[in-house]
Amino acid sequence: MDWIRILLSRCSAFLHRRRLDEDLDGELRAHIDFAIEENLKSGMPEEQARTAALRAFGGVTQIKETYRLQRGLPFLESIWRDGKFVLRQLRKSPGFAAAVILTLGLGIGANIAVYSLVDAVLLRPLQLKNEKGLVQVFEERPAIGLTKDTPAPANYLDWKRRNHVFSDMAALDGDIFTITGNGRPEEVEVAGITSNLLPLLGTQPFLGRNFTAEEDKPGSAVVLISAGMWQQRYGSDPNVVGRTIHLNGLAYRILGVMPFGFTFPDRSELWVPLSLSTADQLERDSHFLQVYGLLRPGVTIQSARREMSDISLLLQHDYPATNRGLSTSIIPLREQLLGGSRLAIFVLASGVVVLLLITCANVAGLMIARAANRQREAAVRVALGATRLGLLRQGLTECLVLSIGGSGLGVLFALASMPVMRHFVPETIAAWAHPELNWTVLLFTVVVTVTAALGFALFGQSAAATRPQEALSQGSRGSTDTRQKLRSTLVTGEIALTTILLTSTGLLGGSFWKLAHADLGFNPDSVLTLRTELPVSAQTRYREFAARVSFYQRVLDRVEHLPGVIAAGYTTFLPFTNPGGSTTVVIQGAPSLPIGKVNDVEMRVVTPDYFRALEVPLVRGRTFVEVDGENKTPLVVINQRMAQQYWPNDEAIGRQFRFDDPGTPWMTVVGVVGDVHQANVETPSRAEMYFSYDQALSIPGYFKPRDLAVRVAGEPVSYTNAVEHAIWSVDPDQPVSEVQSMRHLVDTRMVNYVLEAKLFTFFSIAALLLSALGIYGLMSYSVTRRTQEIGIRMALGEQREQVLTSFIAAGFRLLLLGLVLGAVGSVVATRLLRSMLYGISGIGWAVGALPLLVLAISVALAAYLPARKAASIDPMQALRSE
Amino acid sequence: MAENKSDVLQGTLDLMALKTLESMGPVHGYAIARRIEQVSDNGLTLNQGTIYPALLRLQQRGWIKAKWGTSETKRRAKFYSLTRTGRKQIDQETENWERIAATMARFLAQSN
Repeated sequence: MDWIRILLSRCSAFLHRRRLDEDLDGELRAHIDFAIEENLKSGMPEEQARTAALRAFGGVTQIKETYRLQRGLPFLESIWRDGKFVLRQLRKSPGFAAAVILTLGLGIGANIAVYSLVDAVLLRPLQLKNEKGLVQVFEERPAIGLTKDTPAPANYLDWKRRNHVFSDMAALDGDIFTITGNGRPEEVEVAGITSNLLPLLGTQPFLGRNFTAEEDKPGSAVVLISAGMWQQRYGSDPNVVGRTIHLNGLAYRILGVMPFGFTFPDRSELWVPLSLSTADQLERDSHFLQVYGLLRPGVTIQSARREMSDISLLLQHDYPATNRGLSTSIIPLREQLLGGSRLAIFVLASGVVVLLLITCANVAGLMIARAANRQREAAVRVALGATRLGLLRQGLTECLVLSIGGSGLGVLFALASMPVMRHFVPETIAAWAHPELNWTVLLFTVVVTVTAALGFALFGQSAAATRPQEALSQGSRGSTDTRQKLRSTLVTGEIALTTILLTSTGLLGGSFWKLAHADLGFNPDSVLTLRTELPVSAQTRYREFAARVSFYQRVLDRVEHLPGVIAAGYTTFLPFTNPGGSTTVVIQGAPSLPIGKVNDVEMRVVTPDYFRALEVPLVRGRTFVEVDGENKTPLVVINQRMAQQYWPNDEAIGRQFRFDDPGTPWMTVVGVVGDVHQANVETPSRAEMYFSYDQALSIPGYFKPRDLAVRVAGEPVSYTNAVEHAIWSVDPDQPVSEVQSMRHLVDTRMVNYVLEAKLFTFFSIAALLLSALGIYGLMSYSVTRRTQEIGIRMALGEQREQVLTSFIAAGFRLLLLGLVLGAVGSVVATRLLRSMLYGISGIGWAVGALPLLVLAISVALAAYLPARKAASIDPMQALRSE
Repeated sequence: MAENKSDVLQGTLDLMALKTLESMGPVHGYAIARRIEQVSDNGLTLNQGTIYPALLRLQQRGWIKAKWGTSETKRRAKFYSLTRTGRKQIDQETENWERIAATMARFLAQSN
């Protein structure tokens, strides 16, 4: 094992080379001295003794060199030497070094920062293992305008039995449970799931276990809890499995805890067995399940759609009473869950790639410019005997040194950006969305950029080193060489890319901004909201309509008398909480509708002051008053959309309509209120009617008011205690849930718009900075390189202003070309993005103008500053410059 | 200056240095170089300096070790001595060298 010993000795020598050099010097000096001493003894004169000693020894420097090669690690030492040389060189051109390091740093840092945020907020929560083949299956009844309806249990079971395209199908039913028996009652969202749903999704409890198919039976009281609940309610107790939780008054055994961020399908905190009863399993007329399927390997979604449509036809034939006109629709789960933000993620991801490209282009341009600038120096050195390999090695070492600096800076930027990125995360999801530095992605980014830098450095250097004569004869006077063209192409390309990126991100950012600040049709500020879900099961008194009305009246009476409360009102569902429900109506005096068409109208049940509490404007007529309950004629308040839709040319007040059921009474319109965005901001309001809480119409019990909105002076949440006590003074056993300000509720639902708007803004700024930097670097470098040309032109009598103007004009020609190309690309990009744009049509000038200005200024400065410097020096000096 | 003075077969110098150290005990580089010159009776003219890379090679293999000391003439110098491995190695190296020399001799004899 001699070689290990030798290698170790060499390594240690490499580390101690300075001391060893001194050691060797001492030893050799002693040798010569011994020789002189001996020569003197043999009678030589002193001068001769010395010469003879040196002659006998041989070349001292040569021996030292051989010795050093033998001693240390010559390869490393030459890199070390190159490194030192490179650092000296770079100190001579700090601008170049700074440009490369800053570009790499900014590029890498920004990429990592954006990625970490996209990953934390948008990607990680959706990470379901089987994601690729997961689909959601809906019922569809096109004849009555129903798409994506929740399937009936018997249909689901038939699909599951008959299909050959899914390796498994699972179902879910959302519910709301009250946690009881442990302090204050609390309502939580619950998903009843089949035992195979979690394996289908590719997830499992991280503590405890999933329930078995045996446990998926009626009467089975087992539950899985969310990680959030585990933390808050059980203090992250590792022994929580097996403990009991009381839900709706029944004891459930906790089987397991789901992973962080898992709230499938939406905001569930508990998962219980779906436990379909025998009656449920035969039910085809009640549609309430969410059905998921996992495609068999190799089965496409198209073939799944074909087979499911065949099965639907068979079911239509077998069960004509319930399944007439009923087909299915299959949608990839990811698409279903991501909804509108799918494209946003795609755009962000491609933005990251473009940012990476811009970074690479910047660095490439700088490297090529650098190599071109050193062409003459390289040629001289090759002519003097430097090996080309040595030159290449030096060029690459320079690039490597800069890359290390740039990557280091990038990592620092990325690390420093993490708290900023965390700040970007909206408060409502901050509990589980933690942007983290992803080292794999960091490594990838660094490798890509550094490879690009090395590649272009190699390209530039090898070109410089292979044609020394040409380079020497031309010097730097050859201003029209290929590199100049390549540089112009890079500048143009970069301007074009930046333009496309900026218009896309600008438009998207702008439209998200608009969404986040859109008029909602109500004023969400200074409103406290909460939910009191009145139990209507057989045992409770709220089964009676009168008891419910009395509850609302007494609660509202107490709440309204609290100091600071301006108005309080109940509604079935607050905006943004639940799309609510709709029903079909018949308009009095209107011609009968063609077959298959219906008047579908949204509906809500409210108390009189609800409109005041949310500041929904009254347009015409009146809202409800306390005595409306005694009125025998059913009264109704409608929104503007409904008024325009059904009485476009007439006054709607006083007109009548009824439910699409011959037995129901005609209802009279008493008022028209403004349109409210009930579901979300993007969806335009539909026709909508409001009923008074104290008029017993044939409205299903499901449509009892449950959400309370209280408009107050000052901070809404500070009224929580007072309002809760007012409720409990009416009914001490009534659970109160979902306590939050209306602003918070809206913000929660708008989280993605705000976030995406911020992200795109951040992105645009990073891209703009990078390109401005890159364009400045490239341009100014090429202008500096033409210092000689400027000297010649001025020596030939050209005026300073003329020189400057021509350079700036050349710069702007590149800018213009880049912008034209970019504009074409932007138009294409805008077309692709159209479905995501809200309230902005085409290319907004305001969005395009600012980046354009920054780019133009950067181009102008890049052309002007070096040209001015070149033009201000004496022409003779400029001619001699290198 | 004789041409290719240092162009001595690498192992030759190493073995000579080893043998010198075996017979003389710890000595400095100059003494080793002089001893080789004397023993070879100027039949082998080498640059004295080439002894140093050879000594380094032997050190790296752990066959000899070096220590700063003082000569009889009160001069500070680096003294080399055999290690235990080096001492064992001498026989092996000698054997190697003899085999090469014999082969060479046979080869030359035949060629003539």
